Amino acid sequence: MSTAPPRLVRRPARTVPATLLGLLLLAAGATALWLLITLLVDGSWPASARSALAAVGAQRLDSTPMLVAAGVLAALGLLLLLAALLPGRPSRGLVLAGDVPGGTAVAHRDLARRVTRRVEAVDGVHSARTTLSGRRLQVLARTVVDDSETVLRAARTAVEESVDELRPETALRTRVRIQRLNRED
Amino acid sequence: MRSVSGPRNRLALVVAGVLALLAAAWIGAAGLGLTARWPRAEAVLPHGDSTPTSLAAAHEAWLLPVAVAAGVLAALLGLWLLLAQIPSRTSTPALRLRDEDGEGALLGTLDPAVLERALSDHAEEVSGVLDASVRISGAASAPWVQASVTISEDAETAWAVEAVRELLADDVRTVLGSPVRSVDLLVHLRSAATPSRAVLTGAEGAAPRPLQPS
Repeated sequence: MSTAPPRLVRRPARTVPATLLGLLLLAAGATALWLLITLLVDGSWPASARSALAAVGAQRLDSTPMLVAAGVLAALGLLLLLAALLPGRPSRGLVLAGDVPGGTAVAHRDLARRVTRRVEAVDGVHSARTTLSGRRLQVLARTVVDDSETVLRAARTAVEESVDELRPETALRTRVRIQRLNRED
Repeated sequence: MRSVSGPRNRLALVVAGVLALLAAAWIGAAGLGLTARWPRAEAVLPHGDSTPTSLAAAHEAWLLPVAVAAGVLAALLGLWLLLAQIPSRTSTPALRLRDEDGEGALLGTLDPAVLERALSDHAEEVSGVLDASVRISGAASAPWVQASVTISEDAETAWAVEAVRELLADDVRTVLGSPVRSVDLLVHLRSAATPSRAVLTGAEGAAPRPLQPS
């Protein structure tokens, strides 16, 4: 058995599709068991499901409803395969490399929140929004100040400082935009 | 550090996806009339004029027990897969302290939880650290430290991180007498005020939760 602890930065564990698959399997298995046990005990299908089972049982395999069902199954299979095979992006990044062996990681969510807060502290910025997607860090600062160019420069400096302080091991491409709000907003 | 097994989930998704595609192809083969073009496949592929009722009647002898077994298996696998989504962590064996050459007599054993609690308390004394949780794994001769710390955004983050990493490395070396193999630190940045908007796209999962020492 491996004693190595889980890595700090790892690909998504695909918890959501796995949970949905688990629920689907549990529901399908429980329904099948209810139908089959009733058949074994009573000698006939449950009364509430009898008409539906008779309708499905009478469908030819080359009929449209059955081919639609096959299409739905194929789409579900493809979705499951894509969810498994696409690696996905890690939700954390390595930062602040130091002399002590090992790594330091911070959640991208925390990094985005830190940048937002720093930009919102800039004089003239009304509010800010940060989007971190892969290596791209996009910041939208909103201002009511007429001289938005000055605010943009200050916001850009704040973003660069807040990112540089954390020394991300994978360099981020930052883009800062400014949006001027009307005073009535 | 609590985690969910990604490889296990991906394996389950691949198996379920392949089975769903095979089932779809089996039904689709009837619609395409493959048995007419390829008579040898009649043993495994259905005819287009077959119905579920006629297929069930043709395979009555073995279909019912197999269907019951498949139902039980599906329900159990579903339940197992759901339970597997609860984050867990591997149990850490007791740290066995030996004399200096590492091969001599056993001097004593140390419950990692005791050391983890002490390290967490010590890490929380670093300025700017709001909360800390430490996990020790590996062997006493090559300990592996994983810690989760919550640092105030108003604090000097880089300094606090470096201080915590050095403190953990020094403390573990002092207690166990061996240098740490690795100190992995997961940093959470927190502040009392909330920003107007911080959006994260293209990444899965909720914000990491702080570890709890056992």
